[in-house]
Amino acid sequence: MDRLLEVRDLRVCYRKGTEPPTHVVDNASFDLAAGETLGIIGESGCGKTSLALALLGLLPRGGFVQCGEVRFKGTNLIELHEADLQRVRGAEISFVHQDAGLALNPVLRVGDQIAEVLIAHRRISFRQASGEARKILAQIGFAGHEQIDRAFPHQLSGGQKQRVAIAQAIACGPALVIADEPVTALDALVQVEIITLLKTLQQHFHLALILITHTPAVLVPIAHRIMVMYAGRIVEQGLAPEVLQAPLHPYTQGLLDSGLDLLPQESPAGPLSSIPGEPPNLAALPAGCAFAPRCSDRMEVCQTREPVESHSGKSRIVRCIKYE
Amino acid sequence: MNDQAQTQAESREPLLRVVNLQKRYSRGRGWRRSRLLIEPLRGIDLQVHAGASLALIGASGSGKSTLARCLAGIERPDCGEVWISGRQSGYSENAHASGPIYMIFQDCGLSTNPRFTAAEIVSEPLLISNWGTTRERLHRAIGLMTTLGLQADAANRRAGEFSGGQRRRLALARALVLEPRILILDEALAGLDLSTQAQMANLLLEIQRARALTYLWISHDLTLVARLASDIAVMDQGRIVESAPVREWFAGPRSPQGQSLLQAAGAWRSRPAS
Amino acid sequence: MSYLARRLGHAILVLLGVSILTFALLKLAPGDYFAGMRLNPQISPQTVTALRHAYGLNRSLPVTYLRWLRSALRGDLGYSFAYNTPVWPLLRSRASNTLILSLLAMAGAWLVAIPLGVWAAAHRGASLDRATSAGTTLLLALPDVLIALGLLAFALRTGWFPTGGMASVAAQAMGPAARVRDFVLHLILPAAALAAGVLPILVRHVRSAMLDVLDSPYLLAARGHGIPRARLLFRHALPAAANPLISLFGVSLGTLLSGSLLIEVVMSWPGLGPLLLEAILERDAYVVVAAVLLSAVFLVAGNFVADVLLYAADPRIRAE
Repeated sequence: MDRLLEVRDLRVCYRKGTEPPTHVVDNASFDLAAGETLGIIGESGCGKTSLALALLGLLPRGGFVQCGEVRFKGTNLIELHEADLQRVRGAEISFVHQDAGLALNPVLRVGDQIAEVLIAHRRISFRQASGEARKILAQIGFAGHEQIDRAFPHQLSGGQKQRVAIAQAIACGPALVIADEPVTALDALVQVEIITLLKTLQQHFHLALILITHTPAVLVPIAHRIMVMYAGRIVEQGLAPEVLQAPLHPYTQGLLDSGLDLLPQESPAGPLSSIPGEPPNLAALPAGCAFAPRCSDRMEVCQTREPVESHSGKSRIVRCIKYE
Repeated sequence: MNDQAQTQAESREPLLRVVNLQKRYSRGRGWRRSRLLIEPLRGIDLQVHAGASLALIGASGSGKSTLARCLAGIERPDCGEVWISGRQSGYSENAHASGPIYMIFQDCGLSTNPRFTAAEIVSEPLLISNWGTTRERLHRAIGLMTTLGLQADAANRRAGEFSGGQRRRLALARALVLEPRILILDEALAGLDLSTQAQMANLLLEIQRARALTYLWISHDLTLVARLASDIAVMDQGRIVESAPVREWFAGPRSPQGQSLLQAAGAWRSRPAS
Repeated sequence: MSYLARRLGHAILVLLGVSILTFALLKLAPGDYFAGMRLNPQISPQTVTALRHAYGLNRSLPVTYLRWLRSALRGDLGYSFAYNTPVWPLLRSRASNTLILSLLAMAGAWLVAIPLGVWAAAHRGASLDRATSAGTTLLLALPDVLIALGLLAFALRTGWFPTGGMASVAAQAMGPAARVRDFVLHLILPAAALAAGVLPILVRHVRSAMLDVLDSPYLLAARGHGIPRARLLFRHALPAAANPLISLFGVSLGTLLSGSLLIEVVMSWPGLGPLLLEAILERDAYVVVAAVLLSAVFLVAGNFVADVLLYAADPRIRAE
């Protein structure tokens, strides 16, 4: 397998006023092969979106990468200038945002919004780009809708908007698509459609896909590998079946228990299992392991020493003192 | 309910009875009015017994939320009746905040004014309905907040300082402070992290047992519905196409709409076979 | 289309309201054009009364108004006492002068404000953004008259621009090209003074409208698609920020017109301003009414144009 993306020791910080910067992502290292799907799961505020935005230099004001490397096809994206990064974004790596309703420009026709991406990266006329956009829309499940490219976002349903956003993302034939919670805002039937679409596209174009979500169930049909984040750290990563079947980190265990297997035939009556407490404030992390206060397997040493990564098997990495 | 006889009498008569509820909207003006007629409710009949937990499920646009809003009295239905414990209930500006039905919305955690203190938020419905003295209101609010797992020292903190999960707890405390009989939860757990969602769900189940509350869930998350509801009603295009006890329904939904909903949920329900 | 029809209906109502109000205020103000004659011992009171009778000044307000309205609808705006001519020919050339001045100032102000505002928003917090903000504050604080006087002083010192009027005395003798050049030179200073009055407001609005849009998720998404910066600002952000700006466009025309009356007087531009001022001082009633009404027409037309633009620019308004 050739490595498409290598992330090494990435640290993302936010600075607010004169306070010392908060590390929202720390010590993040992972690889991604061409055509591979990586699922990133974790609770809100665990740094998964910041990690994704940092890969493309899209962090909001106050956010910056303090150290680390993001090598894409051998080039370190962190060192690239804005103008060079802009040639990568949308063409080589593209982004699908959380809520397509908000991620599409309300005053531009959807066909034009796709054409814009093509014009930004290829030497083609607007007319050619529009034709191309129509083709992409037909390809992506709007085959019966002749005039769909003339529609404005507010005329489309939630699922249709997400399709348009995906069309924008794949328009230039990128090698990697990062989708941040692409189905969270949609209802169950449409969720299945969108995930199926992503899977089809991924196989068709040999795309690498990073799928960020807080519901692990979404990853089951599509992810090859899974990475679990907690309080800005990658606490566990490995092949999807391994992580889903036999989670090592107590946090992964808790997360999966509260998410999957909930239909009544299989699940016991009584309370739902959940992880007690709430994710910590990143600006004031406890000493030792950040998960320790909520952990059911907590040992004394967990409150004083930070765990380090330990490898088990070929690609399994877990950050927990239990496994050191 | 401390009156035993009353409770028994009520258990025969459904707590909530809905007869032929209809609602339509028309968009556009003047002569174009009739062109864009939307009928979110085309005749709903529904009975919910005290202590039950009914889940309304259906694709978006099937009329779930409109039904909930009509029941809560926030919207006026065009036709039909809503009976709550044998008394007909109607539309009023503040109905959802003072009557026997209280409705919690999806973004309830965000819709609290961040400058109000927690105690102010929780006791406000009491203030609006002129209940008790300031001291009594505060006492009741703090008591309820403790029950819901918010620390007592939280009372004087401002809503803006609470995390998402805590704000939902606040919203729930506010909903319960007037002791409604029926709680309508319109996607009230949607968008939360799974463990927070599970925590809230457990809390709601506990409260239901302790207070003999009746729940009306509106949710598109079948895995959650499966654990929280006692009965399921499937809605499609403004009608209830199927209703059944929850286990029976999950064992085999009869309506095609129900089947496709369950299939969608099943698509990624299970872990890969071990 | 019903949206535009409704807007047109509003415009007509506004014009009716303005004409009624102007009539009423003129009637309520003490005295009329012939009041001054009463003090002149050479004119007998009978003559004055006869004149007032002849000009219809003794009639009641509603009767005067309705008679005026009837003739106005036929295109006759009345008679000027002071100039002793019908109002319309008198007004026509003045109005077109004002219109030229206002439109030029408007175009200039917007052409500067849009790039400046977009640019300031794109460089939020940078020193150049702060400099723009300080500059607009300064311009806002200066009264228009002071700016006009400053420009006049500038013209006198440098001799680069003529002061006052819209043509040199020798203009009649010039060739066509030289005459155009002469006209443009006369136009620049009043237009600049006028534009300077509205410019800071426009820049600030453009900047804040752009800031709202620049923070929106769809702009982040567009940036994520690798849209080049200039295109991001002008093709993606500006149309989305246009709504409040188009409304402002209508309002700014009104501000410019009222501003132009003052500037015209100070810089002696032969527009509606000096004429209106004289007419008010002399109680030349029909000239005042017609001039005010004409300003209102400009304003209403500006707003109507803004509504049309809004209709064209925002698909969500069209869908309503």
